[in-house]
Amino acid sequence: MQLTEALTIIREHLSADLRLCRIRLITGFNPLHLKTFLQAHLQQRIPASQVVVLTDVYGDLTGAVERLQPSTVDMCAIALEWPDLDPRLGFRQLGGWGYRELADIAVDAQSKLVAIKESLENLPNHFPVALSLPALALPPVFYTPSWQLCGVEIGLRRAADELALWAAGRPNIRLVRSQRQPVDVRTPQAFDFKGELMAGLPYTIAHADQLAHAFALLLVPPVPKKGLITDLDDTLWAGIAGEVGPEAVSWDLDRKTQLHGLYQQLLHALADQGVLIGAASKNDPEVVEAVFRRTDIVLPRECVFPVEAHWNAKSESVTRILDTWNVHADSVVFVDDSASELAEVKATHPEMECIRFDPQDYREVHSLLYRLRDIFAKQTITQEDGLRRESLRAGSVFRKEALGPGVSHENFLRDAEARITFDFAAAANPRSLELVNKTNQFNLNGTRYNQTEWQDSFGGPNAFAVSASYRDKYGPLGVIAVLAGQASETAVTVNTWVMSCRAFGRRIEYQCLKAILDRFLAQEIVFEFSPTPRNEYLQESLKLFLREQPAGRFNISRAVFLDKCPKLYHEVEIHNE
Amino acid sequence: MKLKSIMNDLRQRLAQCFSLVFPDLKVPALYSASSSSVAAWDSLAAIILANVIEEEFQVKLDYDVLPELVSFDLIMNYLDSDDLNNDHPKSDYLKNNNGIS
Repeated sequence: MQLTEALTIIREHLSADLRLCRIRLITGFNPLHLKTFLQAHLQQRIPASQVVVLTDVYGDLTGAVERLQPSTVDMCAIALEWPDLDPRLGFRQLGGWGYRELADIAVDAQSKLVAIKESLENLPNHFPVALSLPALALPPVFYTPSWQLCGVEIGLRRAADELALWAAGRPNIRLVRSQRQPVDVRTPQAFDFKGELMAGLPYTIAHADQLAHAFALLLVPPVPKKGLITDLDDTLWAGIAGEVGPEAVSWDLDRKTQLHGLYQQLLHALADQGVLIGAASKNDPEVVEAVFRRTDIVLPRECVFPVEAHWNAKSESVTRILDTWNVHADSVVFVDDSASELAEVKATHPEMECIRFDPQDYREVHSLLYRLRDIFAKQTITQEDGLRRESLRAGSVFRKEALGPGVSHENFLRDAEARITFDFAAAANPRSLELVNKTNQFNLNGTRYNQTEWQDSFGGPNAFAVSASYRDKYGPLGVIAVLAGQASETAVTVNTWVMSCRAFGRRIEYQCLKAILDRFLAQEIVFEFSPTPRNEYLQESLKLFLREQPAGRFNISRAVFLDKCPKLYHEVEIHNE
Repeated sequence: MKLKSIMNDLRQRLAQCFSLVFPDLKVPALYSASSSSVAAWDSLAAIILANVIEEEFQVKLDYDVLPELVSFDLIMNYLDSDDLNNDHPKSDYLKNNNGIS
């Protein structure tokens, strides 16, 4: 991003109507351009808010971290540099670079790092902090030649790394990973020597932009995609299985097809973290199954669901997989070696990200491995991530049996042995916010929250958040619904209500309403509803209680609910009432 | 006529730079802006303005010259002078770049 573009973005969002999102930027140096770029990058990530970046006095990073008051801002970014640990590790002070000073510098740096750690430790767990370790190289303070790594430097780096290691274990702190090796101070990419001496601006514009972008991604992370649909021949493995036979396709070093083995390995890792992996292949299904039966396969068959192997168009397969997963095309990536297949799928599902796997282009495949990691990257892996694949498989069985010949849907629900557990301490569960921020089809109003906004919404004495976990004889789904709002003596106002698409068709939504009516003994529920382009399922589910399609806030009284609610068969358990 | 048109183009593009850095400044005050007449024009704003001008005109404005560039007219004159440490002669540059903004 250029400075001009950054200023333009900021200017376009100067509006009194937008909610303010306040960021504290802490640096020991003048953060001039870093501040501008941080504001612009964050503004792009949260266009519905007006981002305001606040700074502290320069030259005292440790003190600024100590003074940080989480109640006054929504999040914080800290750019640590060597001079913050000891001014002699910079160029703006003349405190001495002699060998006699080294031991003292190391002690100083250590004590500053301890002070920073103590201040960070006092921040609440829900307060997001992005932290970057020193990105610029150390000045020529060591007596050893520049091509030799000095013990004191190792000690300084280790002390900073220890802070980083501790910070990485905190739920609220995210660390910037420098894309490059430590930047040489003499190279112009990151360090502006003249800027540092003339104006206290050590970062080049390009580096300020890069760091600000990293901060913005850490503070407002992109929503990870949910699934990946892969081609098989010449993508998941090398060779056309139908032509050379299931035993002759390969993915190993010996046959110079390791690229495919690495791709399988990555998909296996993604499946383990809850990413849905499906396959769409123009192939004989028997041949495909034979390849998956091979003992050396890296991506096991059970990680791939469903497998669409036939001779029809790829887009048909992709559509069926999306239906099985019940997810929207924009949450899914399609990978294929054929440009024409990619184009065919893209034409049917324009929102889907379609990526070419070209086994002839090693550099491209190498970059694809990292790209896929980023597309599906998560801050934490929850219990639900591990359940997702199995619950989808179970959901497919659920739907097949529910729609099977001679099966009454009512009897099917009655015999499903469903159990719902409501937890009224859901505000503190990270899964609740994750679900709120990624659910589209069953979402009361589409409002997304950052961690601070989410926690702040429970500030009042009557605020509540309840989650619902579900299991039936087909398996557990984990935490699949969250409701939040305020309860008064007569009414409950619900301003957040989401439910995972994996849980549709089980009448869980009605049990949720019953749970809050019972819990708060309310006579009505007020819904802070807004239609979104994607929340038709929620609207459909509530239609039976309403005379007309809602356009905004609406109520359902206890009497109407009890009168119209279909029969519920779930066994219900309440926690933290 | 051509020179006049180039000058107008340069003037407009410089005005856009000013408008980005000092959003409260409107035409025609913008064309007579100076560090003494614009309260927001401090040393940091001067650096931002210089960097925006660098991007817009693909030139390098050194820290050393910033103290001299304290008004719209002075910057305009500077951009129009041959003092710039630019690989391309400015007249050629302006002819070859019909507005990058």
